[in-house]
Amino acid sequence: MHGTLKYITLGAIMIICQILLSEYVNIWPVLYIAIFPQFIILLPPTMNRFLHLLTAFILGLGIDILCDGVAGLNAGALVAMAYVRPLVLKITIPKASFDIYENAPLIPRTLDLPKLALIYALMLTVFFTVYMLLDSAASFTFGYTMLKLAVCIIANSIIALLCNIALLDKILR
Amino acid sequence: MRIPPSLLLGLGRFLLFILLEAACLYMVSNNGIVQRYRLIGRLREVQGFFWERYAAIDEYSSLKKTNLRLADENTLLMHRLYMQKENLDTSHTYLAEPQFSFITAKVIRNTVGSSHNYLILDKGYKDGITEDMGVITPVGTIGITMAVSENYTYVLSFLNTNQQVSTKIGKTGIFGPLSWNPQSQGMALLSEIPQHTQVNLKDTVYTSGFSSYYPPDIPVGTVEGFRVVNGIHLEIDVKLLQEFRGVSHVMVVRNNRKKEIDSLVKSVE
Repeated sequence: MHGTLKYITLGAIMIICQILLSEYVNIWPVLYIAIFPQFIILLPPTMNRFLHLLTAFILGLGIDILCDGVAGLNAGALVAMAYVRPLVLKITIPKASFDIYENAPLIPRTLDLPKLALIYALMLTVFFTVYMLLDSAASFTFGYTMLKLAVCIIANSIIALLCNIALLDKILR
Repeated sequence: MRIPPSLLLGLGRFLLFILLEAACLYMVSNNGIVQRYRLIGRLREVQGFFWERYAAIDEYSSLKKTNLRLADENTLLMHRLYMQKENLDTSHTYLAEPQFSFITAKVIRNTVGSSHNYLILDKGYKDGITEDMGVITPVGTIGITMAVSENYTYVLSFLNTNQQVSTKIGKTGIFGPLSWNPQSQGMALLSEIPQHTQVNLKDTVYTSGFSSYYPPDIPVGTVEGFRVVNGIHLEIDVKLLQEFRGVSHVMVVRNNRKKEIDSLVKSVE
């Protein structure tokens, strides 16, 4: 499948999955399952960074509207995550890995699971920290916010890894 | 001096990042701004079509429960009507037009599982509903109307982390803001109550009537526990009377004097 079309399809699938998750999977108000950040994490590292930021904004806003969240919450968190992605990748993966895969997704064949887990954990930490800051700015409760942050980061990192092993790795390669 | 292109690019990315974050912050602080757009109204119309049918099936399967609840609500309303009649007999006041009137509506969509919950009602602006109206049941405040299309209304549920209702404790009349406690189902927190206030377990908490959204004296919950915070205030755990999962019919509150009150406040400001 053509590169761009592959990503558009993947983005659409992720939006649909997120809508279904928001509609039918409500386990605990503290736990927010967000699978769409994976899309922004997995976009090719060689992608134009302006475009990467704008993609994150549009995807986030789309999720906010379609999943009936507060407009701007997911968009703000996703933009922040997209902005720090180069820094996170610089820390976790040697730069040479990207250049081999022009227009390829983030997961090069050489990337091992612990490294991928670290990337997901760091990126999702940024995402959920900004999300919580925007969400609880008006009514901040330290204990509750920290609990929510910890639960969301751990649960979503595990979900992201599982998704990756089961599906994304196969689709994107 | 020549500025390196990489520095310019970095600055450009930073500016775009700030711009996008500022836009997000603006949208978050003006909660509901996006829902007000007509496009979303149309989207609601389409979604509403499906939700209405789904609600009909759901309603049929829970008829027995609904009947029981309606019977309870009727009893409560009869009681309140009787009490009001008594008050009118003794006050000798006559009001040409009541301050509050009500529009009944059916809930066709109700979320309770996240920290930003909402409801969709089967009535819209053609039925007289506008934005910023309170939504209640005989046993609780449900939320505030945020966006209205011709046939549907989007209500920001009380089960939102940033929603507050002005309430008072039954016997004392001491008031404070009540907000949902997302950590435990069916509970809320009443804060800013002076420490010296005499509070007893099972005391009823009512709406204070100090906001223009809700009429006074709607029972919303009972006191389940309390503690002193920061050495000055009491924080009270309130068990909500309204079971949000089971809400099927609501009343949208029209405050007939809201305009007058708002313009008075504006003139003083």
